[in-house]
Amino acid sequence: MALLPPDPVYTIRNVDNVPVYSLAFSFLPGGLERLLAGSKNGYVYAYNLQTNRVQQKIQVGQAPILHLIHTNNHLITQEKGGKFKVFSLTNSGYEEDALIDNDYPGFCRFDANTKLETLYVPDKDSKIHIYNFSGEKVGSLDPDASLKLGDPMCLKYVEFPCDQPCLLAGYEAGWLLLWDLNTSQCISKLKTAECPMSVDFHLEQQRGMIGNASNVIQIFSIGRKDLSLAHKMDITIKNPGINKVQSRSDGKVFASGGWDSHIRIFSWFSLRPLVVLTEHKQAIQDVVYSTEKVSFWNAKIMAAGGLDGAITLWDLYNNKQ
Amino acid sequence: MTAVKALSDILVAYIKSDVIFTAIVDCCTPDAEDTDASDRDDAWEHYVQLLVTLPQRVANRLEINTPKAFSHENFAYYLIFHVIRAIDFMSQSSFQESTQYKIKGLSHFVSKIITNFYMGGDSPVIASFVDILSAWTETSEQNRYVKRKLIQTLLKHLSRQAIEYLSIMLLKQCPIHYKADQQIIYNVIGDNFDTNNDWKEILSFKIPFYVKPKDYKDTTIQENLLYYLSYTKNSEGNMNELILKLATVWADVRLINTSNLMEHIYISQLLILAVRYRVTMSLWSKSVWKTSELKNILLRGMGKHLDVLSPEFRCVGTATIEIILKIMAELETDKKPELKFQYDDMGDSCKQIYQNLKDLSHRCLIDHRRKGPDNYAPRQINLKLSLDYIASRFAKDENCRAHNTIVSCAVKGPEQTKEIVKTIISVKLDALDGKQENLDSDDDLVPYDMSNDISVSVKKHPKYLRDVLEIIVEASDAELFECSVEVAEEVVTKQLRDEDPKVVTEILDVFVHLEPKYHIDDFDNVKFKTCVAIVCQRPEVAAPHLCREIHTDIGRYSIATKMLMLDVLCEAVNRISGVYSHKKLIPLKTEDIICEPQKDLSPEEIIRRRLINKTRYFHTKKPHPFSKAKRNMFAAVADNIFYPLVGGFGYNQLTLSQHNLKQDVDNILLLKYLAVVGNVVLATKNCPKVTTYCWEVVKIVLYMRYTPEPTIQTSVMSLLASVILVVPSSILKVEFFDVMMELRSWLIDCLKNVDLTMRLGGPKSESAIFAGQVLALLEKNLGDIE
Repeated sequence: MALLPPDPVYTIRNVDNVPVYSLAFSFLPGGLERLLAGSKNGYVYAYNLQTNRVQQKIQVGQAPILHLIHTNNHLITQEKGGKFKVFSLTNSGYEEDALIDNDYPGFCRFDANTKLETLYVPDKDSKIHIYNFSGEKVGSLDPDASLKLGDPMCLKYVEFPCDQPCLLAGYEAGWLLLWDLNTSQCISKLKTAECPMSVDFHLEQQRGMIGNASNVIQIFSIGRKDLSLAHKMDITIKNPGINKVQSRSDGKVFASGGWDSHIRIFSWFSLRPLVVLTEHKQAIQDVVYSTEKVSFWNAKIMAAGGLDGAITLWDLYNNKQ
Repeated sequence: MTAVKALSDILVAYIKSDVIFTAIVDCCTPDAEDTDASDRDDAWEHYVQLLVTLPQRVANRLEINTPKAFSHENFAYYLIFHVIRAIDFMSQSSFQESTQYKIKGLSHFVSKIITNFYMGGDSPVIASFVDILSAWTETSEQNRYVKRKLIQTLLKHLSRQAIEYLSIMLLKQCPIHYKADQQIIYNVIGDNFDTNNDWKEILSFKIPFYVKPKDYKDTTIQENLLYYLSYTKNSEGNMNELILKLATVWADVRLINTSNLMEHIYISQLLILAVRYRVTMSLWSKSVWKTSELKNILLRGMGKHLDVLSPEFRCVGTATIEIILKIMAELETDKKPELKFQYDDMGDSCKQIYQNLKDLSHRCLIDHRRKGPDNYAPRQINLKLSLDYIASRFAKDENCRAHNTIVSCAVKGPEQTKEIVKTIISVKLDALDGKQENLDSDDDLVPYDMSNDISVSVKKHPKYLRDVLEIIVEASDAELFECSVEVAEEVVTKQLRDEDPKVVTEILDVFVHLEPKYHIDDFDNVKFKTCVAIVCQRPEVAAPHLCREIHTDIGRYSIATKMLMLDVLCEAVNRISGVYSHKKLIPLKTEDIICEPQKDLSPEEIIRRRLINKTRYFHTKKPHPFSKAKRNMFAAVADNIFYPLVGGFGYNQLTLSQHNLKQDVDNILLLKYLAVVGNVVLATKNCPKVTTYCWEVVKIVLYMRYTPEPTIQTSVMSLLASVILVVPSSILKVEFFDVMMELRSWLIDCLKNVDLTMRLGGPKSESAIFAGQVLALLEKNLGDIE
């Protein structure tokens, strides 16, 4: 008999049970390990991963925090309504450095190149703008107007070997475009089944996945030589609607969080579902993997947050000796 | 493990040492006075048992690491080597020193070796042992008579099973010298036939009748056997007995045993040869042989043979009888015309069989006119070679490896190596590129149980009956409403049984009058099914309620609603009474017991599981005769359904009759009602109260029979027909006789104008035809004489 579904290693109740919209791990020098939760009320709550208690409340704005990225010394947030804020980490806390306000009404999460400190920010009319961390616009990606793409829905920054940075962008009409960031040209495109909600790509696996509003997760690949997008296969899941897909950095598994409040973990190798986690009561908004080992669990853990105001921490498929 | 391996090596050394040889000789040496003979025998038997089963014991412990010395064949060679040495030593010492030996112990040992290592007659070890035994009796050495005696005694004390195996091999392998007067077989077996019952029984019965020869052209067994029998003490008597037995078997031709041609030829060969020997014996001794009984049997058998379809089989029959009669003619003085069949027209195989049998009749080894096969050379046994071979097998070290592997290596320069590695890697990469998706074999990530992955709509399903009821009554949420209606049937079946009657009537009312407030696929069907399920679950509450509703005042419910109610009642009645044929039960597949390598299992448990998994069961599962029978569920609730349905009719007939005309123009409600009543009556079959119900129905029939409407008339007739079908004819003839006669005359009346109505066609003619059919049914049931 198969093993019974596991339980989370810990469940954090968000402050006032506010729905969680985005999550980010932050590993600060000096061993401070925190989990940042962007919430509906415009706050980012920082949870200490040693105590699992809230350590800091950062008020960002009024609208829900759709996305968070934490680099070594910056915190970048995205509020619903198109406000992107860059905070720099100072001795006294986070200080707002820059504000980018483009009135973008959608849900598309921005992405960033942390090395070059560039942000890729979605905008209306299928546009994606490139900013630096100081809030200065340095370029934009404009698709051919004849292609009716609709608004951007999801972005993923990929850096291919031989210094070739690219950006995967999914658009409302179901197109997935691969942008070469050196030339700002679209080098490949793929029509997917439906409006993509979330995209992720794993470099070693040469494969990525798209979660959309249907009950299918689509797997695509990017050709090694010509960087061409190709549809590989579909994984059918039970309930429609995916909010977030996320691959683990070791390329063994990837996870999806859906409207049905289920987190699913799949094997990259066989593309089979491995486990369905039903801990949450409402839709999952974000699923992230920690980039480094969390010392309390001595493992790279996964965190998931949803509209039910819970943040669950999971330690799954980590080979423990 | 190392210790066990070391032990096994010690055992090999033990087996190869002289210990066993000395043990044999020691065991065969007569006892000193003080030792107890039986104790010694017991100890010896125990020792022998351990010794011969040693390979299995070692293999059980060491499994794949068992040394080769313990292979079946090698081990047999070692043991036989010791036995041969012991025989040789004992015969020599007895010849030179006239030492006395008791051979019983050795016999026991040899028996065990034969029974353990016989391998269905294919063992090369036993074959060469037999060769050596037979060769020893014929050596030119001086001690050959001692050896002969020793071997004969050895054979005498063998166990019965060993005799069985060994005698066949002896008969098969002992060479026949057609020119010599003495044959080896007698020297080997000696007078064991007369002195040992086992030998006698096996040679005179087991071998003739139970040996299954592979090739009829090789007749060594037959010739050796009959030659030996002719040398036994009461040879003529033995021969007579054997001949009669053989003849009976030969003559007993049935269709079943005609397929065994080889065996039949074998019997025929034995019979011919036996008759030949017997005739030669009586010619010698000038004694009279009474052959009348034999001839009777043979002639009877010949007739049967001629009836057989297979030409070969027929040929065996004719050839045997022809040859035997020809042989027996030698005893008679007056010449009679010979029996002669024609074989030219038969196939080649027949001719061969005939020739074989004919040749065999000349191979009587005690007859001076004997004739061996053309170009015959007796099999030569090379004693020295056999002995040497056994010795060499004994001396060989099984574990030494033959060093004949050629090791080659090609020297490559560093440049070449680089190239080679590059090619290999690129080929592998290419292969990976194409195949990665298909490789799913060794995914080391173990999936968890997925049963918690349920669809959202399932999650919302109400789980309790009262929830279902509440949601449906409120009908505030489309999705909830839809799933509640969909699960209603299931919930009802599971939970209604223990509910309060009030809830039952409430839920029934809700579903009967349910409106599709939101779109639901196949709504009417779902609704109907749920209603039926409710009535099925609680008929004693739901059915009277439903009937009351059916019989309410005109105008309260539409005709369609009442039709639905009747339909529900009808379907529920059918379901409860099990009118539908039983669906075939699909036998549940018994799950294989998975034999996982669990460490904490006892070996017995592992063996038991393996046995269960490997055993094939040959039997058919026969269901118990009552397994298909079902309890008459309807009988218990029949009252609750029948009386409200029929009874309401009397008081509230307004709802159905002419007062309702405005509503029910085509009488569809009435027709439906009658059909349902008929259905209920049919369902009451086998109920104890069936006659009571039928009286009620007959009353309806009597009341309604003069209706002018032909469609109603047809319905009434079918109601009558259902009564006739349901009531057992014995009761029908007694209790219902008068009524039935009256109704019979009514049916005949209906038939009167059949010619006229037929011409008109339409419902009238249909009702007339139906009346005829019902009449026939009635006549049949009334007229039947038990």
